Amino acid sequence: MDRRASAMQIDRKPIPLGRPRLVSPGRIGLYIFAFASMLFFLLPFWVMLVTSLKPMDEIRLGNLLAWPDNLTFQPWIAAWSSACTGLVCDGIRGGFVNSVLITVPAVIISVLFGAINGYAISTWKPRGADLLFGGLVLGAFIPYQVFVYPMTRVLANFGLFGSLGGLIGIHVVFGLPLTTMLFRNFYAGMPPELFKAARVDGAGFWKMFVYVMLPMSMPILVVALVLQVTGIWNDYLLGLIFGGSSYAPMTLQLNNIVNTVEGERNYNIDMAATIITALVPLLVYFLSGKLLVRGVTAGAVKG
Amino acid sequence: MIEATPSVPLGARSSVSVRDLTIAYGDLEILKEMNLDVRTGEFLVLLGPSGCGKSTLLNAIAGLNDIRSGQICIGDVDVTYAEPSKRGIGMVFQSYALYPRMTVEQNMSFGLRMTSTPKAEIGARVAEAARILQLEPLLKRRPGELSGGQRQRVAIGRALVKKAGVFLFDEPLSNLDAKLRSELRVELKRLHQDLDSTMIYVTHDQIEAMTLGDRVAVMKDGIIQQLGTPHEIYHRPANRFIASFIGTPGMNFIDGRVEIGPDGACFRSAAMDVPLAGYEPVGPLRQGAAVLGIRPEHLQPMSEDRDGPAMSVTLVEAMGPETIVHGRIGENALALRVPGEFEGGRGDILHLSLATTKINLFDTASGLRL
Repeated sequence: MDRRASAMQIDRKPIPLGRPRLVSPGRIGLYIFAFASMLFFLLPFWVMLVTSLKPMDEIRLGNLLAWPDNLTFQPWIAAWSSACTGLVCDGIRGGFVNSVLITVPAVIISVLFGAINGYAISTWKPRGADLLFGGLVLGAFIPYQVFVYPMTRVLANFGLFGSLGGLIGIHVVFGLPLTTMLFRNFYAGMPPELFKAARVDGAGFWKMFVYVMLPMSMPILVVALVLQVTGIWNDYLLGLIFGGSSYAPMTLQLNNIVNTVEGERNYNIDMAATIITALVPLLVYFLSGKLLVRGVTAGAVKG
Repeated sequence: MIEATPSVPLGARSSVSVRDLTIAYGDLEILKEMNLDVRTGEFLVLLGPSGCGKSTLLNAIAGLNDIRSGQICIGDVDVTYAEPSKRGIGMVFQSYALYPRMTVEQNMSFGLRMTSTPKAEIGARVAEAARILQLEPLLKRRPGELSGGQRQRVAIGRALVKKAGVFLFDEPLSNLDAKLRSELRVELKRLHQDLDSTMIYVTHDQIEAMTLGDRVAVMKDGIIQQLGTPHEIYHRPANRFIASFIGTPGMNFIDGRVEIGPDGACFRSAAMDVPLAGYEPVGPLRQGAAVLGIRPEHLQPMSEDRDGPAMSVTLVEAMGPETIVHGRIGENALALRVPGEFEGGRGDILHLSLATTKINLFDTASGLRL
């Protein structure tokens, strides 16, 4: 019944009474495999990190994995504020601001509307809800490149092409099938008697949503937020097409920095800019950690 | 929401009447032109096997089901199309349906907060309900920290604080273990005596039905088969279904015929002949095929060796205060309820005596009481 209670039960697995005394060969193999996997996944990041902290002279020597002899943060500062994207040379910070301006409203709107949609479809079962949901599921699996041309025409007709609002709207529209599906499935797994009780208690559509459903939605809310934040932050194509020149997101700026070459390629600045761009989704994953896992498995451990 | 929705004032004890109610999903009729009157202050039990429509009826009274035709009145108000919250009802569910993120106190006050009752009154009513249900020490806890019995008491409290005119219970004890169930059963009975509220209670458990109900409506296939006091249901079942559904073990049935002779009517079968002088038939008895029904406690082994029908024992179930003895007479399987212990076992032959005033007769074809 209570999510917290069920989570506590998960944590309360039988505690092993002391480690096994003899380390079995299987266990050694397991550790070797785990360690190798870790190296495999961390190696590119390590290269990026050390490269971004080296001056170019040192990079030219080719010691890809070595810790910098002359540690410098200059590439980071340059990447943030003075690297050139095409003709403009004020770093990636403009893209950061754009990405925040795009991501925050787009995430809030798509998650909130997804929650309301999912709640309406699963709880109130309006006529045609199944058809609507079927359409949404279909929408979630159609590659959005298919919609690029028609959407361009639609936005142009409304005079929204190249505007911040237009780009946010696009992200919301493309995010809704997924968020609606997440919330619909989450709410469909709740006992229907809960809604009945709330109706007998006099809670209408909105009161039931705000007082009964939302407080229970924490796990799925985290999942939806993480998916939407990373999805929209990492988007390149939609930003390229619909962002116009003034609202190019960070991913686009990064690409421009990396591809703007005058003479020597500044690997250290490229790496720093890349890490800065990846920082937001990385942080989101780290911070959501356990909550995310709990949300993903929420369907499996109904309390 | 529709403006002119009638609403039932809270705090008034109400009667409930259901008129020609039909509920159907597509072509599947769950309830068929049902009529039911629940008196003010009555404890009415809807009893039946799963799928008989009893929960559907309860949900319809609560306003949680779409109905095809018919009318539902609570008190003097036609609530057929009223919102659940406007019907002056409180409802208790099998799965408790407590709001998991709210404390016990918040759970109980939720309905009042939704109708913007003054804070002071909410506090007073919650305190009162908590006192009645002995929930005072638990008010600040979350449902997840409560036992099943405590959760169900909170659910009852939720109906209580609203001063509901009608309490609706949807199998409230089915999720509890046997011991708790019998404890809460007694508590519910006491609550009904204290509050004197109208209560409608859905269950498939006949013991709950017999012990709690002022009247019991036995349902099957969307139709009320019989509505009567537990005593009537048990001793004068309207048809064979009720006779076999109520009682553990169910009623014994023996196929035979009614014969009207010079000495009056008599039931004749291969197993036994029973004079029907003491039987009160529904209508005049006619000659023809019939089924005799007799409760296990109304068949007893005779102490002396007289020539009653002879049953060979097949199985003995000792229950403590009583013993169920299963056996056969020819084709017919029978069960007797014998007080105390039974000395004997498989293969023994018992000569039976039968309480002729306690018998039931059913039509062979229709199963209806004769």
